[in-house]
Amino acid sequence: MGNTTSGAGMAPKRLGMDQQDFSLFMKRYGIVFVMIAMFVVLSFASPSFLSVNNIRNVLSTVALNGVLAMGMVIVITAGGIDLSIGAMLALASTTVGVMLKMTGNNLIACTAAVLICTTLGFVNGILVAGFNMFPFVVTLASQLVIRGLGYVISGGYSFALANPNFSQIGLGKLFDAIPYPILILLGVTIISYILMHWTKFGRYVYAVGGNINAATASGVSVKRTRVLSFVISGAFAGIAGIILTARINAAQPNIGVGYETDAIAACVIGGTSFAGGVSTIPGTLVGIVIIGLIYNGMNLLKVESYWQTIVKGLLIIGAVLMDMTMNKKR
Amino acid sequence: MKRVSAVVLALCLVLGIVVCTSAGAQAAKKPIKVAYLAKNTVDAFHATLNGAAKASLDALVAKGTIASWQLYDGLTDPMTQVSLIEDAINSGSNFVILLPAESQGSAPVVTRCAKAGIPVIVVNSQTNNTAELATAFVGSNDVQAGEMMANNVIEQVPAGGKYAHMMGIVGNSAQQQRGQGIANVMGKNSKWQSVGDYAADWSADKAVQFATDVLTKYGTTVKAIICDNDDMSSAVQAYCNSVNRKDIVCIGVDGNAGPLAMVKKGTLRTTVLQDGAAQVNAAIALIPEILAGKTVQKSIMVPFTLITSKNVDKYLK
Repeated sequence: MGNTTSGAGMAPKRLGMDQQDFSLFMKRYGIVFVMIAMFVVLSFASPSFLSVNNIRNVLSTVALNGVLAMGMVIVITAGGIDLSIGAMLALASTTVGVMLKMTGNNLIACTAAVLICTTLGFVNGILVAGFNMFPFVVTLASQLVIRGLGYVISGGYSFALANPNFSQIGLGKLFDAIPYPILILLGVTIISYILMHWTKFGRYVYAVGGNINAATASGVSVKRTRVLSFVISGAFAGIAGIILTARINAAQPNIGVGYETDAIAACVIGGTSFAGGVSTIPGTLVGIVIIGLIYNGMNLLKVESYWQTIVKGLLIIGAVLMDMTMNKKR
Repeated sequence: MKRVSAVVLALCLVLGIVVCTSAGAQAAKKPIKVAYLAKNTVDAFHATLNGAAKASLDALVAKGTIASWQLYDGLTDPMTQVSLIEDAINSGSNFVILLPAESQGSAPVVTRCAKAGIPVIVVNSQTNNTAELATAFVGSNDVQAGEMMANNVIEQVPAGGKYAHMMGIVGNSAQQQRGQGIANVMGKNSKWQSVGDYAADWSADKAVQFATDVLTKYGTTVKAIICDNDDMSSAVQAYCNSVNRKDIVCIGVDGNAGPLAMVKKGTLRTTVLQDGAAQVNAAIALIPEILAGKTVQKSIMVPFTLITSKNVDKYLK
């Protein structure tokens, strides 16, 4: 009865919680505190930061990275990785350009872009799950193929969008207030949340990524789950490609280089484990906002743009170290 | 003994003459294989340039001036170009057209050609040893392009204000020289202040991201965004237009299809056309003259053209 702790007294309570609960709390919500801290610091450091316009811009800018990150978190949680999403952005862009040239119809162009990227995601998934190849290797190679396809389709040329209304997807606002990219990000986040936290598929993703043998023993279709994770990643990359094309008002085959880095960084900062089986959708969203705040903050503070990539790299290392430290207690 | 030596010496002399003559004859008959070292095959501007080069080089092959030609993709990487020149020489190329990826990094290519006695024409941008070692240079004066953009901004907004500069990949001579040209003109003008040189890497999406924050920070005091290429300037202008900042003058260099279409539509005021096709065609036109042993002009500059709604129809692609 009573106190089961032995030894020289109990560990001090923090925020009214004991050590284990506190660790769990920090692990789950620590990253939100980091984001809030950044908001506070930037509000004081730059007068332009805390305005509706600036916050709106930050969210619009990170919207496409966020859509990519939602696909990436599902793939990583299932135990894989997708390095081809940057190339898919370019292929989606050139597909939009070509379809608009042929049909002038925005819906057809968007559908074609998403379809083609979803199909390529399916191919990635089959190679990984069906042929048991390493996801890193498969998507490293497929990114070359996909980017090449973009150049072949476009002949290396970038072209103006045949339908001038298309750019509204990236530059327009609903009720002249909420930029469409933010709404798209919201939609994709909600879909991802439902998939990962409310459906059987989500449970399978966590199971396959967490312990593949246990998942198989429990009757989970590992192959199907892994393939689907890549299909979703491809579909989201197609959507992100549409946003990017609209935002730059041109179809270009050489865009999207390095975007997979930001997506991975967002996942890691948001608490996703590279070992698989550990992630949250809200965490990923916070991760991408933090990355956006870094870029925005540094631009507002007139820090040279080369330092931004250094800071981003250090942040990923910091996030992983913090994650490892939190988990050491278990 | 003396007689024998004399005969042997005479024989050697004759043999030497015969060998040299036959070698000379072979050299004269040696087929010309052109190595076209492209900077890349993925930028819109270079895609146009490479397309024009293909047509002109194919024509030279059809005429019989050269036997064959091959494109080597530099992947915008000077190290790649340095190893490609070795591949080209090893596969028998004896004439080189070089579009440098970087002014310093790609210089060894020109050095290598000079060492191997291979004529090299540098096109579009210069390596730092072009004047010294290359057979000829055909390009445009990127400093002039920078100055043209800056002068146009001053003309469009006489009251002055703040401006941002979106750069190309740092190290490329086009980026360095356009920046220099902009600084030459804007630096002397007290009505204009720079709010920064942003590393947008020729990339439209990066330029838009930077522009978003520039507008947030500086608001209505920003009057111009000068970009090293017009993929960037057209995307930034589209963004400015979407946030009711049509007053901001965005200008860039190249004259790609997208920006020209925007000028035609009136959503982009100006762009500076770099006639890449003219540059590469002028370079290829030098090949028969160089092969015939004629002296050619060491440096040919193809001028830039300021494109507005008044003259865009002539250049629409």
